Amino acid sequence: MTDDEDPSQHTPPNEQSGVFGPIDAGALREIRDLFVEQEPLVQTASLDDPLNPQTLSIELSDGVGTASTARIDVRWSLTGNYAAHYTDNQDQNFRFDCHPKPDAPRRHFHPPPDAPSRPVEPSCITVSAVDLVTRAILQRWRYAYAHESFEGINDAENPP
Amino acid sequence: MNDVVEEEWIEETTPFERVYETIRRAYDPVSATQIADRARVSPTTARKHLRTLESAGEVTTSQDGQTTHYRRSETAIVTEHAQSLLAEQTPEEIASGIADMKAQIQEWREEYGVDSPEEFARELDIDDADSDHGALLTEWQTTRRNLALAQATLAIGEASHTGHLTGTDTDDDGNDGTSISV
Repeated sequence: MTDDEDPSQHTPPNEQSGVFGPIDAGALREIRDLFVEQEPLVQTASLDDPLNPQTLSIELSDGVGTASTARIDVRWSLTGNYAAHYTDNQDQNFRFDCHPKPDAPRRHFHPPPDAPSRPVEPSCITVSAVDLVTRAILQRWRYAYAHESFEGINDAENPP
Repeated sequence: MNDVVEEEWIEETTPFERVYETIRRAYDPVSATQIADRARVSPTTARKHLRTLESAGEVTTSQDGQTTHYRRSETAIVTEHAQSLLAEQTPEEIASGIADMKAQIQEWREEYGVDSPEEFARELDIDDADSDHGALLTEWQTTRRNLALAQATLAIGEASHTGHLTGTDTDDDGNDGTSISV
């Protein structure tokens, strides 16, 4: 394990810095089914490799604003970490992530238009179950799609 | 937004479905109270459904003092994975995928001079999952797990094909010498 044995830190083994954790194939299939069921603009939703999936890719038949197609790539780990990356044919990007990242909150948002690795913002998604996170991502994509803008995409409150 | 999606989830699912969804992704032991909290049901309801899922082999329990902890059973993990794979892939495709995964792991071992993803993480002092090495670490860990699951799936697929699990003889009885009677 790590060298710093500061008892006040109490980091569980799977939350070591930098470790995303192995991808959960079952979770990717669950997210795929939920996207297909909930989002009418889904064209295809498929795992990159049926035997050794690393990423679920969801192709959408429309994008935010002037974009006409878009894709959301989702990864989910056995340890409950995730990354959901939106990209479209106008090269607009954003990412809702949850994983350990040095000097950043575990739940963080890579803002549009290019979703840089840094700096990141705290994510507005605070739920953690597969089903709930998937619904929250769909909700934020729908928000941006309806407003034809990424403005406020990470400012969700209750209710939005 | 977070409250809204929770309400939506509760509206569209039964308490049993929520307990099942929650325990399906619980790979580390959790108490019934924690499950109840996440699934938005009472602890009594959670315990009732968890007992049902335990007798169905979906859930396994461990004892921590007075508290019972629950997690998804290995059998359930393998079974779920095998069902999805066998629905989409032929045994030949699975066997060839297994060979590819083994070759890939061997390639990483040689390229980095390490035996396991853990050693790789230690040697390279990976501190950011977003980095190239962080991404490879995840890929390696994932491939190792999917290899184990594919090997188990292939064994299940072969056993069902020969009928040796159900006693149904789908094949010849072995008189032609192509199969072995057990």
